[in-house]
Amino acid sequence: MISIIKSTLKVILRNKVFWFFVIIAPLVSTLILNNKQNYSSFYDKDRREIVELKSMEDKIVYNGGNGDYLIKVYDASESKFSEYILERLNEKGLFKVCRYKNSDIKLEWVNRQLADGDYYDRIGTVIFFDKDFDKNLLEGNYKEAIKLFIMSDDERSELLEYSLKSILLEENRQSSIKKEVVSYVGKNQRELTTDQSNAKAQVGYAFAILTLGFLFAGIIVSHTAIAEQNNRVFTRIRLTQITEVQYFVGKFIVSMLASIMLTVAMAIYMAIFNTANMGMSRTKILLMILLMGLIFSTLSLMIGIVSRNVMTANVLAFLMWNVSALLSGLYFPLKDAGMAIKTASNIMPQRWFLEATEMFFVNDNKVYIMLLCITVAYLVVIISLGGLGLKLVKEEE
Amino acid sequence: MIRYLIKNNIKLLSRNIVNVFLYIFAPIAVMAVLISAFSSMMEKYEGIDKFEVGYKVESGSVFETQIDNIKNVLKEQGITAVMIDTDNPKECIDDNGFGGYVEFSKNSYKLHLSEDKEVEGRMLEYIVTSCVDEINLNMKKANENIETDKLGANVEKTIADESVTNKEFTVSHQRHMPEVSSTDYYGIIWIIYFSWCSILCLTGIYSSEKKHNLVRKYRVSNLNELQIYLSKFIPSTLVIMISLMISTFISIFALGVHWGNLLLSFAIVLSSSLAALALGIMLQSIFESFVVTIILVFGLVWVMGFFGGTFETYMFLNVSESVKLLSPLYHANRACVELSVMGHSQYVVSAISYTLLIAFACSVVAVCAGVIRRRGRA
Repeated sequence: MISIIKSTLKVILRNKVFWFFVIIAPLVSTLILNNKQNYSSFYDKDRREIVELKSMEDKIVYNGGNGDYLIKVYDASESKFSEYILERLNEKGLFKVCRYKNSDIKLEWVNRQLADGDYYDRIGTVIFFDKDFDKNLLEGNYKEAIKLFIMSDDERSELLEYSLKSILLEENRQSSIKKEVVSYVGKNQRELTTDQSNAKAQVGYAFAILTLGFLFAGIIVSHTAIAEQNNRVFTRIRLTQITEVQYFVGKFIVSMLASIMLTVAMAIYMAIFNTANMGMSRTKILLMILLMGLIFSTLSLMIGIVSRNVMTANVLAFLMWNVSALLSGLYFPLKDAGMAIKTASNIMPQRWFLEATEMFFVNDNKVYIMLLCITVAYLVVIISLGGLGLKLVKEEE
Repeated sequence: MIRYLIKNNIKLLSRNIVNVFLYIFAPIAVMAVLISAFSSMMEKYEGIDKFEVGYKVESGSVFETQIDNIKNVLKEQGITAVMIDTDNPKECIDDNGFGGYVEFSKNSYKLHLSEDKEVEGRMLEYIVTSCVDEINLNMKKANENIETDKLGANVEKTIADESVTNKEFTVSHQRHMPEVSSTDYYGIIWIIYFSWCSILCLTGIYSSEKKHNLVRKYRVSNLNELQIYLSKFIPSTLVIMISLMISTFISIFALGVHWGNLLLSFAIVLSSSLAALALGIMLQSIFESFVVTIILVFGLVWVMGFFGGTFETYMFLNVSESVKLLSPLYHANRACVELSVMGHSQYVVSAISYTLLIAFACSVVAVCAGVIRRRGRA
C-alpha cells in the first residue's frame, strides 16, 4: 500500500494543475481574510437599534426586509438633539433608521450620493441634518434644519413627516409609560456584532475558494486512478498481493495528504501576511479548513473514481462547487429562504462549517464535537456511497 | 464537408443529453434558490389590507380612559381591535390570525408581535406608540397646568392639532430606481449567466475529438481553420439557443418571471452566448486541454458575474461603476433588468455590441491560433 501512496504522490506532485491549486487557492483565501470590508448582507436585520453606517456609500437595503421602511440619515450636526429625534423615530417601530455620522458632510455630497449610490438602494427617505442643525432648530427655522429627500412612492413617507413633526412638538419628553416589545418565532439565537458578521462573511468567501481547491485536489488524485484503470495498471496491481480495498485506501490517504498540503500552504500564507482579527485564532480556522478539505477531497475522489471519466468529473466538481457554496449560504445568508431551500442547505457541508464559525465567535465549546461528528458523518456517507457506486459500475461491466 | 461536420456535431451535442438537460435545468434550480433567499429583502411594500389585533387592559391603568380613542385611531387605519383576555398572547395571535397583541398595564404597555405578520406588526407598533406618545404629552401638559380634568383629552384632537402640521421641512422627491422583485431579477440574471457557461455543451464534441484523435485528422483534411471553427460554433449556437429558450419559457411559466421586452432581451442573451462560445473555443484552441478551458472559462465568468451583479444584485453591490462597466455581464444584466422593470434601457446597445465584439475578437484569435499551430506542426 505504501508503494501505491508513493507512486500516486509522485504523479500528483508532477502535475502542474495540482500545484496551481495548492498555491493559488490558499493565497486567494488568505487575501480575502486579510481584506477587511463591510459585508452588510450578513448583518442581523432583526435588531431594533439605530444602524450605524461606516461610510456614506453603504447600501442600507440589507438592514430591511418584508417591505420595511428604511431611512438613511446623513448627520453632520453632532448634536444631542438629532440623536434624540432619530432615537424616537426608531422607537416608533415603523421605520428603520440607518445613520452615517460625520461633521464634514456637505449638501453637495449628499446630492451626489442621492443621484449615484442611493438611486439604486432601497431607501424610503434620506434625511440630512447639516452643521447648523441645532441653531436652525432653536430659531424655529425647520426648513433649513431638516431636509427630507423622498426616495420611494411609499405612502408611509407621509407618516414619517408627520412623526418628525410630532417628535419636535414634544421636545424633551420624559416618558412615564414604559414600552416593551416581544417578537415571536425565528429570532436568531446567536447575535453577532457587526465585526463578527463581517468576519463571518469573509470566512465564508475564503471557504468558497478553498472548497474549489480541495475538490480539484481530489479530482487530480482520482485522475491517477482513472488513468491506472485505463492503462491496465490497475489490473496488474491486483495481480500482486495488494487488494482492491488497499488500493482505494491508498488513494484516499493521498487525497488526505493533498488536503493537508493545502492547509499547510494556508498556514504559511497566514503567517506571511500576518492574518489576524478574524474573531478566532488561526489554529481554529485552520482546523476547520483541514476538516473541510478531508470531506471535499474525498468527495471528488469518489466522483472521479465512480464516473471513470476526468471530463465528467470536472464538470460535476464545478457544478457541485457552485451549487453547494450557494446553498450553504457562503455568499449570502439564507435566513429568509423557503423551507425547501433551508432543508437543502442543511445537507451542504459548508453550512456546518459556517455554523461552527459562529460558534467559535461566541466561544461555544460544543463546536469541537459538532465538527468531529459532521466530518466523520460526511466521510462515512461519501465512502459508502462511493463503494456502492463502484460496485454498481462494475456489475454493469 | 463542413455541412457534414456541422450535422455530425449537432448529433454529438444532442446525444450528450445529460449535459443539455443540465444546461436547461441548472439555471432554473439556481434561480429558485436565489429568488427564495432574497424574496423578503427585495419585497416591495404594497400597503396593508385590513387586519385584526387583540388587546387587554388592566383595570386602573392610565389606558382605561383612553382605550376607545386608541381603538378609533386604529380603526381609521383599517385595524380592528378585539378585546381578548389571555395569558398566552402567542397562541392568541396564531389562532385568530391577528397582526399582534397589546397588553396595556398600569404604567406600561407590551406589544406582542409575530414574525409571520411583520408588516402588520410594524404598523400596529407605530400607531400604538404614537397614540401613547400623545397620551403622554397630554398627561405632561395636564400635570404642568395642574388641571387633572384634562387628563382624558382626546387623542384624535391632538393629532389634528394645527401646531403639528405647521412645522414645514424642506421636502424633495428624488429619482429612484423602480423596485425589482427577486423573482424578476434572479430569473433574468441566471439565464444570462448560463448563456456565458455555454462551453459546457461542447463537452460531447471535444470528447469525441479526443477519442478519435480528430484534431490530427482535421489537419490533413482539406478543411481550413475557419471551417473547423465554424463547424463547432454553428451547431453549438443552435443547441444553446434552443436550450436557453426552453429555460426562459420555464422561468416565465413556472416561476413567473417578467421579461418585459422578450425579443430584445433574448437577443442580448443570444449575443452573450455567442461571446461565451467564442471565448471557450478560443481557449480550447490555445491550450488544447478541456480541463484548463473549463477552469479558465468558469473562473473568468465567475469573476465577471461577481462584479456584474450575478450573485449580489448590481444595484446593491458596493463596487465602483467603472469596475462594473468592465464586465460584459453587467451590461447584459442591467439591460435586461431595466427592460423588465422600466421597459427601456440605455444599456441594450452596449450589451449587444460589447458581447459581439468579444465574440468577433475571440473567433479571430481562435482561428489564428489554429493556423499557427497547423503551420508549426506541418
